[in-house]
Amino acid sequence: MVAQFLVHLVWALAVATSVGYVLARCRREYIVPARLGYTVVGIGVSVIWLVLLISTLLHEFRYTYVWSHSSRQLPLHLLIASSYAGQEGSLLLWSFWLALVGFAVRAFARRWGWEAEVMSVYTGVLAGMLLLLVAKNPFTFVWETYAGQGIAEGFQPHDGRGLNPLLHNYWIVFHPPVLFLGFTLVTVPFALAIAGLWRREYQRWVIAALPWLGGAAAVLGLGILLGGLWAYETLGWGGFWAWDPVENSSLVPWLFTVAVLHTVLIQRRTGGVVRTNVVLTVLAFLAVLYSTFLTRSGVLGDTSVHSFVDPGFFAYALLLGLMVAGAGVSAFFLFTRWKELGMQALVLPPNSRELMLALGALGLAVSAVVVLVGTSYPIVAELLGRPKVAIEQRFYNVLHIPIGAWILLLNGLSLLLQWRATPGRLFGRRLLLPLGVAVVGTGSLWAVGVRDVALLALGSTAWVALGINGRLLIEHVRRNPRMLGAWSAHAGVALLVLGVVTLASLSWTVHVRLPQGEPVQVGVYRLTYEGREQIERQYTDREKWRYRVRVETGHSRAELFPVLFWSDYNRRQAAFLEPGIAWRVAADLYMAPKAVETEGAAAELVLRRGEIGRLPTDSTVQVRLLRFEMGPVQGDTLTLAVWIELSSNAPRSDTLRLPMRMLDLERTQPEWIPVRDLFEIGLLRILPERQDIARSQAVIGVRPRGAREREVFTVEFSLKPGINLVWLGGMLVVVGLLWSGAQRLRGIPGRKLRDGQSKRPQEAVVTVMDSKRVSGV
Amino acid sequence: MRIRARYWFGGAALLGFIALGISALEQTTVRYVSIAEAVRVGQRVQVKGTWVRDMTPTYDSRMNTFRFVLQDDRGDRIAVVYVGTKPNNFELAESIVVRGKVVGGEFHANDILTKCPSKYEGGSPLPQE
Repeated sequence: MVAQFLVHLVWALAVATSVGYVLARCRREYIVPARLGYTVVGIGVSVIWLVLLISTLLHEFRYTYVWSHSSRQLPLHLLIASSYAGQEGSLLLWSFWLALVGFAVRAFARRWGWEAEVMSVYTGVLAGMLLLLVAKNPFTFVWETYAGQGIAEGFQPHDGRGLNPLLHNYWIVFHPPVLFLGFTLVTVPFALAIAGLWRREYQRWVIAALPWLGGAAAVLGLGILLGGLWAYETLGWGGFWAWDPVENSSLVPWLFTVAVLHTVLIQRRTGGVVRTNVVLTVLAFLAVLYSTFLTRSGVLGDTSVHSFVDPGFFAYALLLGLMVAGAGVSAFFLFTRWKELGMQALVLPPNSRELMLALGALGLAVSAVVVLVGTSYPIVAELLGRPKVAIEQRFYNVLHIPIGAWILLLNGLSLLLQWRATPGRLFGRRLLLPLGVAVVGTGSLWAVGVRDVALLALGSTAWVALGINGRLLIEHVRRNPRMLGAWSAHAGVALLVLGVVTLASLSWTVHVRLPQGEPVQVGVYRLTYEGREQIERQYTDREKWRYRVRVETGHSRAELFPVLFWSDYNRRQAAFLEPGIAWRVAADLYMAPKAVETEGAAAELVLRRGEIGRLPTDSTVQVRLLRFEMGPVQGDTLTLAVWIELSSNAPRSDTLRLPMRMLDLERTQPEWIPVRDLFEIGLLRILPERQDIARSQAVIGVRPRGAREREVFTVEFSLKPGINLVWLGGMLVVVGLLWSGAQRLRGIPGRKLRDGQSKRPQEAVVTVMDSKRVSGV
Repeated sequence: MRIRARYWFGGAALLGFIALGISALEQTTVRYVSIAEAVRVGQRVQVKGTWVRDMTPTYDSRMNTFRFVLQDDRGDRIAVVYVGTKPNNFELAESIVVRGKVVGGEFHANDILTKCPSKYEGGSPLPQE
């Protein structure tokens, strides 16, 4: 009760604080209580988060959330992760980040002299998030959730339902928190932009937003990258990127953020593109809200591999309401200021860096729109009353070849050209080396086997970008370390694209059956399934087997360990499959498990009750199925048996009982019964007939005495060349963004200003622009 | 005049890209249809339904094919053949979406989407006393 109430209280306080900050804009005496209010809200949200974390750690299963997402049989890191594995918990984690980052934003805005405006917007966003928590309270008790089932108040289930085995991966510790921190950071430039509009200071907000934009792009990018690593290491999620709606909805805010990160540089230099910057910043934030709506409202239910469950109408309406509110506030400020925003005429000379930045940002924005259209099209079509549709991945791939080439060319050119104008001779000289690199690089792509013309073209633009940025990185790093971030991020993008091109063209997959102990040759690789061992035996809720496969070529060898994971979570009906990966510099060896069978030398015979068949090995012997026998049950295993009658030409006949242990629905263990030193006979499995259980069929196996059966491990074995370029490129992008974000902090005053007092802008152009402000509206 | 030429060029490029986008959208759109409709058109479509639990799904490791029987909202049934293994969470799925086309009375699926109560929200909603 206390915890539930706390959520309501903190939400109310956040609303009050936001309003207090709005009032503080006109009446200075409100700033102190508003500031205090934020401190209380920030601490309150942190306390709520801690309560959920501690409740999870202490297994407080009377909370529905804790019961639904964790159990006593989780290692510590997964137990912690379960506190944000569900809707409520992830919303809370996000709110916690917002609250925490809010302290930094408050200090920053105070120094900047915009505390009232920035914090009223920011706290408003936090209040919206908390409202979602009020609707989806993580501290609802089980007897409240399942009120109809007559559960006694105060009831504490002994154990929880556990965490979905698909999420049992160490990346769940990193990916969601980083992603939510990224979403949180996108809020800050938005708050600064709205504050700038509010105060009619259309130039200064840009300087303040730059470090936050860099930080948001870096952290959100890292979150996406970690998501890719997670998808790569867990099966069924389609490699590292599948254009899944959930993936897309974190990509769109990132693309908008990176786009505005570039156009903001133009404004800082020339004072132009004011409207573009405000609009893109707002779009980045709205994209976060939209993605929250898409992934949590259940609208994408049929098209996403990992969309959440339908949260109910109230939460749906709330999500929609928050999105509309965010868009409404932004639209209000944009429309009332639109004319003033367009005061500065934009000059973009053709051979200037500013034009290249604008065109590059255009490419990023187009990419964002394409992804947005692809993700939303099924919903829009449904809303328009057209037949329900889905979009295939090919849509994104086809369109991103020209978009990618466009972005990569400008990626290089924007750094090659100078601000304002670049002398033609200089341009030509600087372009010579990158063009050479591109020719050689593209040739080498051809040489290793890339034949698709579109991919070769895309690859050549990546080489141009890599040539330009690589040269800058090597030649100028000492002289101009501030630019290190841009060069590294730009080179990273090029490497990433080269990785994707290589992967798309050169990776291959084969389907192989591997009988235990018997080497199978696949191309230059010799695969041997050596055996399996059970791991994580300390947990009784699962049976996890690690399969060992040796991969050898003439000069190297590796061992791969795919995993089959039988869990109580799905009542051990089917195994969760995890790939085995050998990380190699040039190309990963990737093995996805598919199936495990026991292949005996046994011949099979299928019979119904009362039916007579002949032994497949000796047709003079008749087999008659007398009856089925159920039980006994020992622990988890059920023993089934059939009674059969064996008769040959001789008048004598034998009656045998063939027992079989059912380990679970799919795996059985027959007991082989020897018959007259000649052969062994056993019950392999039963094919049940649901309508009439008496008509079920028994599969009976016969094999020579002493024959050994062996396991056959079926896998999909693939080579993934270029995958490490993807990771390396991604990391360079993240590090570059972080670096350049940190460099932009230099423009920020270090000392506190008194509230309401603006510091004089440092850059000449900004001064000019701000003096041109008009009043009105 | 140069400015105007630039706008013409930009406009043409934009229109070209939009045309490319629309054609890509049309080519990659897959309709959701009923089984009867899927049989009738024989094109690449999506069918949503449930897998029939009376008919045990089978996986053939030699051919790498997974077979099961799908039933749609109207109660029609069709055999589905999928190149690959049983997807994760197949048993838990409350509904299944298959993407592919009907060939010779069987649905040849390239993709199977399992729609669970939720992959994040877990299985049965009953706390046991």
